[in-house]
Order: sequence, then structure tokens, then C-alpha cells
Amino acid sequence: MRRAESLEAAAIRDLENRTLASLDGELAKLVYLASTRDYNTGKYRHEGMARTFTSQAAEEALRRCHERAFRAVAAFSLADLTKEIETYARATGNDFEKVLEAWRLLESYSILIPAGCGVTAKHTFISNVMLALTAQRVAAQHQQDPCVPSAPQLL
Amino acid sequence: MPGRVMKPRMPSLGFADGWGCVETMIGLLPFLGVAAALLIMLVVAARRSRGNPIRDEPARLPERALMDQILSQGDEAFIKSLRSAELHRLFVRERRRLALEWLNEMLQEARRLMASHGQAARQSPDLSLWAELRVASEYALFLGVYGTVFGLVWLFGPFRMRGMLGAVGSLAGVFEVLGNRITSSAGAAEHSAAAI
Repeated sequence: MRRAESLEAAAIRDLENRTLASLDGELAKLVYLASTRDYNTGKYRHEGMARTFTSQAAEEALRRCHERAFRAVAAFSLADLTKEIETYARATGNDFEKVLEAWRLLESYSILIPAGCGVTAKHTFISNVMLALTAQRVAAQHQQDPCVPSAPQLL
Repeated sequence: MPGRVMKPRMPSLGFADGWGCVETMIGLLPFLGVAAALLIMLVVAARRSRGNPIRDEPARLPERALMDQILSQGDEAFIKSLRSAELHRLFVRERRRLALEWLNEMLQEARRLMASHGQAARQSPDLSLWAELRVASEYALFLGVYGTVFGLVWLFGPFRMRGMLGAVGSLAGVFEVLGNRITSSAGAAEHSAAAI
């Protein structure tokens, strides 16, 4: 029991110090951690970590770090979340506008939520990301044409 | 008598002869069957309710911090700073929906806790009428405040009702205490049952 816990703690440290430390921003960490989860089974997989530790310790470490990253992003204010989304979209290396458009159309951010999250917490996260994406577009339109006072088309 | 046709007898409630008694018993069989089935269902339900792990279900009220985030003045100021009436309308609509959802989650949990409490009270050997009345009055107060706040948030939106939503949050604290009391009393009951 104690060995399993220490393996899990070591796996978390390894994940934080090596993989997550190289990612820019909390949102990038959240996207990475959510991507290690199998959509069909809901289990987390990481071959390298499973070899170094055990598959059970790796799964538990990924699950805990995913929950932690989600709590961090979910606690952002709308202004901070808007900045974080911009930082992430630029860091992907793809066309900035296309990344944001894909997020708006596909609502891919809904798969970032870990299992066991409360219903209202889940819906608050989805609503906040949607509002942040819309706010980013409004702000961009203001920058393009500062004379336009308000009411650009939303969504 | 030759040629006499034996007519089938109608069921009779009289016990004039042996055949009548058997007929009556046959007529009662469906009722006896239903009664036996009901008895079995009652026994199964009683065993199930005795075996329910109340201790394993602590209070899971929605977090107060989540409501603070939904009502955040900083978020409202940020949206206003973008000077878009449409975005502001969307923001208020979303936050109203989330505030109502938070309230609904709170109600569901309060109902679950009351059901667990009722179950625990029925099994408790030292039931206190005074304590039960107090819990019932707390629940009635919660439902009253909840209904008022829900209606006001629905009508006027969450931002004008910040203070009242705080009142619901405080009442939720009462239910958290109740939930903990239920779980600890269930644990104590199991302990004493094990000791016996």
C-alpha cells in the first residue's frame, strides 16, 4: 500500500518536473493531460511513465494532475481565461484565428473536463470558455476598428 | 339418478360441505398470492434499507466558491469594459442559468440529505422528537428561502440578488452540518450494532 503511494507520488513529481514544466500556461497543461485519457474507457495512459513506474501509478498520477490543472483553469477570471486561451492558441504553432475558430465551432474544450466534476462546475467551465472566446473576438474587432462603439456580431 | 347432469358449482363462501371449503380456498388463492408477494417485497425493502451505506454518502453540496465565481464582479467589469451590449446580454443570461443550476443542485442535495436523515431516524433506537422537529423546521426554512431566491434570480438575474444568494449559501451550511450528523450517527449505529 505504502509502496503504491510512494510510486504514485514519484510519478506525479516526474510528470510535473519534466513534461508539465515544459508547457507554457495552465491551459496547455490541461489540454495535454486530457489528451492522455482514452475517450472510450476514460482511463489515462502513458507508455513511458508506465514503464518507469507501474501502469496503475502512472494512471493515478495523470488523473490527479488532470484534476489539479482543471481546478486551476476553472478558477481563472474571465479576463485571465481570455489571455490564457490566446497564449495557448499562439503556442500551438497553428494559425491563431483558425485555432480559436475550431474551438468555437467544435467546442473541443468540453473534453478537457475530468470525470467526477460536479454538474454546475462542469457547465460553468464550458460557459466561461465560450464567453472568453466571444470576448476575445469582440476585443479583436475593437482593435481592428476602435471607432466602432459596440455590438459586433457574436457567436 | 340416471341421466342426471352434474352442473359445475358456483364458488360459495359457505362451508356447508367439504367441496365448498376447497372451492373457497381456491377462490382465495390469488389474494393469498398477492399478499405473499407484498410481504416478500416488504421484507426485501426493509433488508435493503437496513443495508444502505449512509455513512459512505457524505454531503456533496455545490461549492460556495463556485457561486462566488458565477457572481464575480470582476468578470462583470471585464465584460462591461468591452462595450458590447450583445456580449453583456449573453454574459447575464449565462450567469443567470448557472446561478439557477447551482440552486437546483443545492435543492437536490438537500432532498437527498433529508431522505437519508429520515432513513437514519427510522432506524434510530433513541429518536428525539425535539431534534426531529428542529431538522424539519430547518428544512422548511431552507425550502422557503430557496423558493424565494430562485424566483427572484429568475426574474431579476443573479447580480441584483448577490446578497440573497449568500443567504442560501449560509443555509446550505446548515445542511452540511446535518449531512455530517447523519453520516456520523449512521457510523455510531453500525458500531453499536456490531458491539451487540
